Amino acid sequence: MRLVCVIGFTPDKQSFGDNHEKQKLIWQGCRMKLNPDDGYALGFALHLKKQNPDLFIEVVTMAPLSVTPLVENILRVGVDRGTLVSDGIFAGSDTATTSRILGKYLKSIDYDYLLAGSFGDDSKINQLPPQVSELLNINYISGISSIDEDTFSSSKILVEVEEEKAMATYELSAPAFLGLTEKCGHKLPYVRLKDSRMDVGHRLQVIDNSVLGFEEREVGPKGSLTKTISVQALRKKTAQQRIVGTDSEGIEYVYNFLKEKRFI
Amino acid sequence: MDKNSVLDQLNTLVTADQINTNTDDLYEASADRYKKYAYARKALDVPAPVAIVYPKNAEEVSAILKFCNENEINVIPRAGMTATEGGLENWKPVTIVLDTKFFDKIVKIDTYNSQATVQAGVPLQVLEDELRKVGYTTGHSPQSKPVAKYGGLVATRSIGQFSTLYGGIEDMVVGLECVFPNGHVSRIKNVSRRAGGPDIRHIVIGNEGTLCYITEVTIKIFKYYPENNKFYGYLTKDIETGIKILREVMVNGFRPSVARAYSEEDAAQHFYHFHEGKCIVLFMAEGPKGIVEATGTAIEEAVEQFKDGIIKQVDSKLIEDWFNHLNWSQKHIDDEYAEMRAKDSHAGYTTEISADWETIPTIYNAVINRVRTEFDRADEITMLGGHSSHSYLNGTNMYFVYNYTINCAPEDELLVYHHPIQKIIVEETLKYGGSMCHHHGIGKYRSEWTLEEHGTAYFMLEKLKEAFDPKGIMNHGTIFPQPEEVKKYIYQQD
Ligand SMILES: Cc1cc2nc3c(=O)[nH]c(=O)nc-3n(C[C@H](O)[C@H](O)[C@H](O)COP(=O)(O)OP(=O)(O)OC[C@H]3O[C@@H](n4cnc5c(N)ncnc54)[C@H](O)[C@@H]3O)c2cc1C
Repeated sequence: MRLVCVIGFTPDKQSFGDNHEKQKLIWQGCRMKLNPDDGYALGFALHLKKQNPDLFIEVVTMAPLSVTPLVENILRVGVDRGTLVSDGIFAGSDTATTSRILGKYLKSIDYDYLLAGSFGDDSKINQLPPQVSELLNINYISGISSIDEDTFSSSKILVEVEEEKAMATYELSAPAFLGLTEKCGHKLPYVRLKDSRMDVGHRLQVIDNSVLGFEEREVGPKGSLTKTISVQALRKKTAQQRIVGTDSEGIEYVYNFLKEKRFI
Repeated sequence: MDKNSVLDQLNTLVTADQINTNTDDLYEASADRYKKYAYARKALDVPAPVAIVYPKNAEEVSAILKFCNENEINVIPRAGMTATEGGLENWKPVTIVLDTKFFDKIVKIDTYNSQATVQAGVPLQVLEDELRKVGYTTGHSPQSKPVAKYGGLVATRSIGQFSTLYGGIEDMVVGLECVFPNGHVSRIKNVSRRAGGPDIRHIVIGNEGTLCYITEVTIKIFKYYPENNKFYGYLTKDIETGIKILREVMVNGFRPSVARAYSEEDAAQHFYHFHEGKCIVLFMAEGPKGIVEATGTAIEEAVEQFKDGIIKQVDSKLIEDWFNHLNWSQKHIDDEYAEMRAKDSHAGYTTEISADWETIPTIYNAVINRVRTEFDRADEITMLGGHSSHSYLNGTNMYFVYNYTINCAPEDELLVYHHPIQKIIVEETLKYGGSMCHHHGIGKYRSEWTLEEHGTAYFMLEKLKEAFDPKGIMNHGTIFPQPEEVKKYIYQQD
C-alpha cells in the first residue's frame, strides 16, 4: 500500500512579525512550520506504518527550497520519500494554482490514498485537498476524526466524520483523498536525537518546472486569479496586568472581574 | 544465570506471592523520577528487572542477597519509589528489585526514651500520624513525606522541611538493622551516643542501596507543640538579602524549623498570590513557647538589620497556608504522570547543592548565567530559579528549580534538557567547592562526578564498596561510576 501525505508549510508567526512592515509576505525570509493538521495526517500514516512496515509513505509539498531541513526531518522519523515541488516561477501561486501544480505531479505517481489535514493554520479549511481531488477525479472526505485501521488492508475503508450533531461513518475505496483532523490523535513524532544527523538526501527529490513543464503565465502570480496585496501579522491583544491584594478591596475587584466575564 | 533460572531459584527462597513478574509493574520498576517523562510516555530505554521480590524478614533478605551474590545478579533495593536521581533505574539485563512492601510494621514507639523503631517499608506519614496521637513528631518532613518510606529515607540521607530545627535523617537515626550481600545481618544498637570507633551508622545512611539492604530503623522522636508555631515572611529585593538574613539567624544560634530564601522566579511559582514579582524570605519558629518567642525576636532583629533589602512583610497566615499544602501525595505524583501522558510537559525538575554562606550566591549566579548563555535550548526554558531551604551554622543549600517546553522525543528529553542543565549546576558547584548533592543522593545521574565530589576521599568510598559488595551486585551504577553504562543510558552512545 502507498500513502501520499500532501502537506503544507506556513510562516511561523513568531518570525513573521519581521516582515509585516512591508505588508508583503516574503516566504524566503520567514521561518516555516508544518501546518499542524498535516502533522496529524503524517502522524497517522506513520502509526499505520509501525504496524505494517511494508506500507510506503511519501510526503509531497510545494514550498520554497528553504523548507528542505523540515522535510528532511520528516524523512528522519520514518517517511520513505520526500518530494519537494519547488521552482522560482511557482512562487506567488494561489491555492487553485498550487493544486494544479501538485495535481500534475500526483497524476504521475501511484498511490492508494492521499492524506492531508482538514484544516490549515488558524483553523481555516484546507482548500487544497478538495481542489486536488477534483483535478485527479477522486473522492475527498474532510473532517475525519477516526479511521478504522483494520479496514486499511481491505478494498474499502471506514472513516468517521464528526458532523454538527452526529458522528457519520463513511465507506470509501481507493484511490481517495482523506482529510484528517487532530482528533485522529497521532502526533507527528519528533526526530530522535541520534537520528538528527541521519543522511536522508537520497530519499528527497526536488521536482521543478523542468519536470512539470508549465508555461510561466500558467503559474505564480500570473497564473493565479487571487493575489495577496497585503499581509499583516495579527497583533496579540495583551491584557493589562493588575495586581491586587488579599484585602477586601482586592477580593471585591476579583469578584467583579469574574462577574463581568460571566464566570460567576 | 538466565532469567528463568533466576525465577526458579527465587521460588525456592520465597513463596510465589512474594515474586511479581507483572509486565506493567516491571516497567514501572525499571526507572525512577529522573526519567519520569520517558516513563509516562512509555519510552523507557533501559532493561526491565526480572522480578520484584517482597521479602518478609531479615532472614529472607539474607537468603536472597546470598543467592544473588553467588550468582552475580544485580539487586536494586526499593521502598517508596520517590527517588529522583536514577537510584531505582536498572542498567543490567538480569536484575531483581527487592521491595520493602512487607516491612510495614511500627515495631515500637517509646516516648520515654524519645525514640521509635520501624521496619524499612513504613511510610513516614504513617509513623508521623501515629506519633501525633501521642503528642510527638518525627521532625522529618521531606515533601515526599506521604509516599517515601524509612528504608529509602535513610538510604538517600534525606532531609525534611523542618531540618533547621530537627536536622536531616542522619541526625535522627539512632540504630538500625541491615543485611549485606554475603547474607550477614548487622544490628547497630540504639544508644544516646557512642565513641566505639568510627560511627558505623554512616556506612549505611546514604548508601543508596549500594552496600547493604536496610530492614529496620530506630529514630529519635520529638515533642510536638503546634499551638506555638509562628510564621514570618518578607518580600526582598534580591535573593542575596534573603540568604544574609538566614545566615544572621543561624550564626546567632537560633534554630527556626523552617528558614527559606527564594529567587524571584521560584517565588513566583510558589507564592503566586503574594510574591509581587519579588524575592521572598520566610521562617517558621517551632517548639516550646519560650524558644519560639526568642526565635521570633531573633528573626525580626535579623530582618531589621538588613531592612534596606526588605520590601515589605507578608501576612503570616499566607505563609502558614502555603506550608500546609506543600507536600506531594501519591495523587500529586499520579496527576503529574497523567499530565505528562496528555501533554508535552511536566512539573519541572530540581537539582539541590550545598556550600558555605559565602559561596552559595556565587554558585547561584554562575549557574543562572551559564544556563542562560550556554544551554542551547535556553529559549525554551519557562522557569529557572531556586531557593535555599536548609540552613546550617556554616552554610546553606540551593535548590535549583527549572522547567521548559518539551520539543523533542520523550526518549531524548533528559539528554536534550534535563541533564545538560543538571550538568551545569553540578560543574559550577564543584568548581566553587560545594557539594553537588545536598539531599537527593547521587543515584546514577550524578555518578559521573562522584570522584570529583569526593576527591582524595573517594578512596574511602571505594574501599567500602570493595569490602561490603566485592562482586558489585548492589544497585549497579548508583554512586559508583560505570563509564560504559553512563555512555549508553545517559549519553545514548552505544
Ligand atoms: C515530590 C517529591 C518531593 C521530594 N522531596 C524531598 C525532600 O523534601 N527531601 C528529600 O530529602 N528528598 C525528597 N525527595 C526525594 C525522595 O523522596 C527521597 O530521596 C526519599 O528519601 C526516597 O525514599 P523512598 O522510600 O521513596 O525510596 P526509593 O525511591 O524507593 O529509593 C531511593 C534509594 O534508596 C535505595 N533504597 C530504598 N530502600 C532501601 C533499603 N531498604 N535498603 C537500602 N537501600 C534502599 C534505593 O535503591 C534508591 O537508591 C522528593 C521526591 C519527590 C518525588
